[in-house]
Amino acid sequence: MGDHCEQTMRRLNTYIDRELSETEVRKVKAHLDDCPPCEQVFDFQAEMKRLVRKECCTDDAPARLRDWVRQLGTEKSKPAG
Amino acid sequence: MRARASNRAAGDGSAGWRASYRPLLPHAPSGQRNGFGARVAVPSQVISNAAAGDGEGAAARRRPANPDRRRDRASHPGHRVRDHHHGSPEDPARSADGIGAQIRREETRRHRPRHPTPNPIQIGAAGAGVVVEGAVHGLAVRVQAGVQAGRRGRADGSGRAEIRRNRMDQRGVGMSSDFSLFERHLDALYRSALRLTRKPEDAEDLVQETYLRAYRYRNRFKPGTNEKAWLFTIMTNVFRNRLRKRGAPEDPIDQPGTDFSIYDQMRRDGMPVHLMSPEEIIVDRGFGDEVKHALEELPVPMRMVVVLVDVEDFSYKEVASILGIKIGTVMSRLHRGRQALQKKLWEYSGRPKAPSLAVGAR
Repeated sequence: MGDHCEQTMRRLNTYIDRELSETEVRKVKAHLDDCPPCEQVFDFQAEMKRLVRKECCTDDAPARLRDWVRQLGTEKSKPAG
Repeated sequence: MRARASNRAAGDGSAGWRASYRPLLPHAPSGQRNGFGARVAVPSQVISNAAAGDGEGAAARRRPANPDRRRDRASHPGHRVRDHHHGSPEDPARSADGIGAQIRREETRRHRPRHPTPNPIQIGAAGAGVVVEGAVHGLAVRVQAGVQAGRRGRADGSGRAEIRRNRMDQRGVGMSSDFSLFERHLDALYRSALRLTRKPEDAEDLVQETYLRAYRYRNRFKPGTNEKAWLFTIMTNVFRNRLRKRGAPEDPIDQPGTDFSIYDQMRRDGMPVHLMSPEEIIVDRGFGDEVKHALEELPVPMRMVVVLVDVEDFSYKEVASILGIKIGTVMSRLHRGRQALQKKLWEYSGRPKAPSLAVGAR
């Protein structure tokens, strides 16, 4: 693994979490274009993140809880102190 | 006849609310889950349960209360309200007014002394993005009023009279549209609460307390700022306080890194990982809820960060603010959390750990 690979790998999380500056993103992208092994790792981890999100977004709040929150919101009252 | 009617009328202020509410606490007998009157938790019970911050304890306290209330009503049918648990003679309005007033009463009677809990407002103030810093009473409302005036095309924010009028609106009907801002994050709060508590009953209870607090402190929320982060700040604080009160041993914050990734593992095993998606590797061969289960097994500090970043899509900065930790800490917990998650998923997927066997198992 070359220096470039190591430097890029250090930015794996921040890259897939969109926490890098534009300049840094450009650097990472430039390396990934030249380095299929690194690109595969990045793709895999990004996919992994998507998977976690997708699998965990299947639980919606029960209807009665939704009704309860709605009732709470429509309750007329003075602002709490 | 008359007694019954007046009883019902007395409850009008919150009848709909009561009707739709069921005790959301764990281990509540199923008989208490529906119907009106005594078998349904009354608002202040809910609130005091929330204040207790402890599902079991609160449920235990409530149980003896309900029969009392029933007896009370039966033996004094002519009285409008006989709820000695939270009503008081010098408080004649309590039967007719709503949940907001009851929350305020509860707050003065119970909450302040009982809550060493760090005020969610103070914690959120540490970071950017979540603007909850010490809003003076009424300030938030005034800002909101200004915004409303602006929306009507009054760029100058109009005169004081207009603002006062808007402020009055805000006290009544206006509040509903205000709170709907919070309502829309219900699913997000609930699914995260599920990951944190692992149990639907506890998750509902946690979300309820979150909304009760959001309601109570709604004036300190600054309109136009990140309300989702604000709600999550409240919820994660409530959750951590509950864990603390239960005396549960705290999950280690700084577990040694597991240094694991499915990708590396599969490469080591000589599997064509570049031809497979994580979904094919984990979900398609598993039993359905692996990802959720694996996430729920992570130590709480890591789990919170992974949930907030991966599931709820908060930025590192927002997570740092929500949890009151440094961005560097967010990053290291996220890194270790993701590795631990992948390790668990790898174990769940039932693949033998020895490389040679793994290849054979395909």
